[in-house]
Amino acid sequence: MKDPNEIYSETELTPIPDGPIPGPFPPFPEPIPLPIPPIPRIPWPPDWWRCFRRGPVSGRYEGPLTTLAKATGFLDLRIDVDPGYANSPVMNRISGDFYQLFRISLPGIPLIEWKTYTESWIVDAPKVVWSRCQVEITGIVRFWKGTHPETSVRVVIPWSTFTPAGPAEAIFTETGGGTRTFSCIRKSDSFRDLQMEIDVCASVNAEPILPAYDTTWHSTRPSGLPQRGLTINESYREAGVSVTISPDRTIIDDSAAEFTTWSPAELHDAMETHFSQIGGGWPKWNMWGLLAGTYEIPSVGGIMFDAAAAYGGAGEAPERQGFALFRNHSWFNNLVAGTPANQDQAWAMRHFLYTWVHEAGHAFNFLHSWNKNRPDALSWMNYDWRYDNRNGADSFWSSFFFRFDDEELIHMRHGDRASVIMGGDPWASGGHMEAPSAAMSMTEGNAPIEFLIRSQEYFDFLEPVDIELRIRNLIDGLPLTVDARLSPEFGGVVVYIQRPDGKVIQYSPIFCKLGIADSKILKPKDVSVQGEDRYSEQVSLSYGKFGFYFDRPGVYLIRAIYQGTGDLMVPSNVHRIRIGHPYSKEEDRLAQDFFTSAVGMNLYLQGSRSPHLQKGMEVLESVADRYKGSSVGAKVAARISSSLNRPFFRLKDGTMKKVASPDPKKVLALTDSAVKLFEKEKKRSFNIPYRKLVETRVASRTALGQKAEAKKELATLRRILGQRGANQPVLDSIKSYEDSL
Amino acid sequence: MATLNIALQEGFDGDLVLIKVNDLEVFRKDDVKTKRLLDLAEEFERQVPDGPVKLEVLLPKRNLHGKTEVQALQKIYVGISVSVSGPSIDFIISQKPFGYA
Repeated sequence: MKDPNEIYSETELTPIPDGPIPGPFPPFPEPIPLPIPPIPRIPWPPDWWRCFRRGPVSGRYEGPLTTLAKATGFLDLRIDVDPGYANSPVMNRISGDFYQLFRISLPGIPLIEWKTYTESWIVDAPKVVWSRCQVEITGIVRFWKGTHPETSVRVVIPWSTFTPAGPAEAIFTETGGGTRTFSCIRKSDSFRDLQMEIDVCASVNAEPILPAYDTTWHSTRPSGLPQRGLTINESYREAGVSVTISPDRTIIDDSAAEFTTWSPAELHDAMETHFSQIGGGWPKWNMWGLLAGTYEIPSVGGIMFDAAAAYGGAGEAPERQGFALFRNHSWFNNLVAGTPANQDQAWAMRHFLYTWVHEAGHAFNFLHSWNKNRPDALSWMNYDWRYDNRNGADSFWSSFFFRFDDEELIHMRHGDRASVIMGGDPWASGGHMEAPSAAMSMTEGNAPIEFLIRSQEYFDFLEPVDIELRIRNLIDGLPLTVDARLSPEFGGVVVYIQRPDGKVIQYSPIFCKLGIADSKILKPKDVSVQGEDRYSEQVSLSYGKFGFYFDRPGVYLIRAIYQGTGDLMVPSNVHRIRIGHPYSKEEDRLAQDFFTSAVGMNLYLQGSRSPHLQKGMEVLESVADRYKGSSVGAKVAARISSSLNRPFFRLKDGTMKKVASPDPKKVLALTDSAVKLFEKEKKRSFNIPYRKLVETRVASRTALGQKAEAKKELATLRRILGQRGANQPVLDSIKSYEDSL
Repeated sequence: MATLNIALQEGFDGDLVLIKVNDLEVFRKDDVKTKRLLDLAEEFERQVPDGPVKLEVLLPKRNLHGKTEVQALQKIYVGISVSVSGPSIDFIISQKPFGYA
C-alpha cells in the first residue's frame, strides 16, 4: 500500500489507459476495496491547473534522428488520437514518413536543402495511455512497402501547463534490437498542409468564385448536423488537411469565338501555362483548380482531368495536379453570392461546395465511393443520385454530414505518401506492393536537380521499351556539374519497375561499366537558352540480367533514382506505360521466338553479328520486316541496324579475325520504313530514336559516298524536330553535323 | 414527342453496345469504355413518342442483354450500367439529370 503522503507518479493517475483524458484528481477506486485504503494526499493548494494542456495532441510533428550524431534521418509524424478540430473525426491511428536530409553549401548562394522521402508507415491499432502531463502511444509498425523486420514504435508526447503538446519522442525498435529515436517538434494541428491555386476563366469571372455554405441553408439535411459555415478550406480542415488558397488568381481569356467547351487536354495545357507551381520537382503538396465555362460533355460539373487517358483524363504524367469546375453546368444555374434567398439557391451553393471538395478529393487519389465497393458511403466522393437510387429519394443529403468516410480519412491523413501526394502515384493506381527499399523514394524541398522519366504511354506488344531520362538544373544563377552517365550500367541511376502483377523489381543491366564521371555542365535555368539547362538520354529497358522486363501485356510503373556524384539522391516521377496485347494469334506465337535470350541480347547490344546470337538477329530482322509499317518494326530496325555499320571481329586460332564487313546498304534497306514512320508520326517520344536512326543512316550513306543524301536526311531531321518543338541546342548540333559532312 | 437522355455509365470495358427503342436500333458503338473519373462512357439523346417506351440494351461480345420500360414524357434520363455481379445490365431512370464530377 502506498504511503498516502507519497507523491503519485503520472501514470498512476491514469487507471484507464485508453480512456478519456483524466481530470487532475486521482480517480475513486471501484468497487471500494476492503479494508478502506488510506485517503490519498490531496494537494494543497489545489493543482488542478497543472499540465492543463493548450490544444490537442493530434496533429503533425517533425524532427531529426537523434540516435547518431551525424545522422541524416528525419521523421514526419502524424498523431491522430484525440479530437484535433471541431467536426473532425478521430481515426485512432499514428503514421509517419521517413526522409533523408541533404544539404549543399556553395559560396555565394544560400544553403540548398532538400529531403528525400524514403518510406511511409502506419500503426493501425495504437495503444494510448494518457497521463496528466504526457501521453504514451505504442504499437506495431506496418510499412506500406518493402520488407522489414517486425518493428514497434513508442511515442511519448509531454506537455506543460498551458502549453501545446510536444515535442514528441518516437523510438522505433526492430526485432533483433536495432533502435532509432527521433525528436519531433509540433508543427500543425493538421496532418497534411496543402497549397491550392485557383484560376478563373474570364467568361465566368463573377462571384461567387469559391463556395461558402452554411450547413443549415438547405432544409434537406440530417437532424443532428452541426451548424457551421463550410468552405473548401474548412471542409478539408475538418478532414485533417490545412489548405491555403493563394489570394492571386489569373483570369484566363476564353473568349475565342470558336472556343465553346473544354477537353481534358486543353485543361491540362491551361494548367501547364497558368499554374505557377507546375515547374520544379514533383510530387508536392500543391494543387491547381480552374473555374471554367463548359466541359466537352455538358453533363459534367467538374473533373480532375489530370489522370490517364483511359480514365478520361489528359494522359500526361505526373498526375493529380489539377482539376476544374464548370460554372455553366445546370447544377449552378441558381448560384448566388452570399446568403441564398430560396432553397434552389441553397441547393446550388451546396452543390458548388460539393463539386469543389469532390474534385480536389480525386487529386488526393480518391476514387468514387462505389469504385471502392462502398456505394452507400456518406462521403464527398459519392454521387447523390447514385446513393438515392439505392436508398431512396433525397436520402443522401438527408444523411450526409459533409465529410469523407473513415477509409478516405485514413488514406488522406495516414496513407502511403506516394499514393496521396499530388504528382505521386498515378490516379487509381495502388502502389502499395512489395518493393525494394528506395524504390518509392521522393523529393521534398528544393532539390537542385529535376530527374524526369518520359516515353510514349503505350507500347505495342513486342515493341522495345525505351525511356528518356532527363536531368535539369533547377538552381537560379548557378551552373551545375553533373555526371551525365544516365544508363543504369554505370550505377548512378537505378530503375525500378512495377509489373502488372504489382511486383516491383529493380532493372539490372547485363553489363556493369566502370569509368570516370562524364561531367556535364547544366546552365542555370534562369539564364540559359531553353535546353542548355538539361540533358537527356534514351535508355532501353526491354532486356536485362533477368530477362525481358515487359513481356506481359498490362500497365507498368517505372521510376528511377539518380545518385549522380557525391552525396546526392534525386528520385524521378512515377511513369506509367501500358504494353498492348498481341494483335493476332500469329503475333502471340511469335512471342515464343521473340522472348528468348538470343533476341534479348541482340536488343541489348543493338544488334550483333556473333554466330552465337545469329538466330536472335534473324528473328529481329524478320520482325522489322513483318511489322515495318508500325512502331514495333521501326524500333526493332533502328535498334539492330547500327551494328551492321561496323565490321565484326572474332577470336580465331588465337588472333582476332574479321568475320563480317560493314553492310551500309543493308542498314539503309532495313531502316527505310522506320525513318519514314519516325518522320510521319508526330510523337515527341520518337524524337530521340528518330535522331539516333538518322545518325546511323548518315554513317551508312557517308560510307557509300552519298553525302548529299546524308545531308538531306539531316536537314529533314532538323526541320521535323524543329516543328515538334525541339530545343535550339539540339537543332544547332544537328546543323553542325550537317555542315561537317 | 419526348426526349430520352441515355447515359452509358459504369462497367463498360471496350464493349460493343447496341440500344433499341421500341425494337428500333438507335445506337450502336464498339469499344465503349467507362471513363472512371466520371463514371460515364457515352451520353446521347433520342426523340421518342410520349408514353411507354421499350428500351433494350445488348452487349453481344459478353452475351448480355437487358431491357426495361420507360414512361417517356418531356425529358427522361436513363442511366445504364453493367454490374460486375451477375454480370447484368442495370438501369436508373430519373426525371432529373444525373450530373458527373
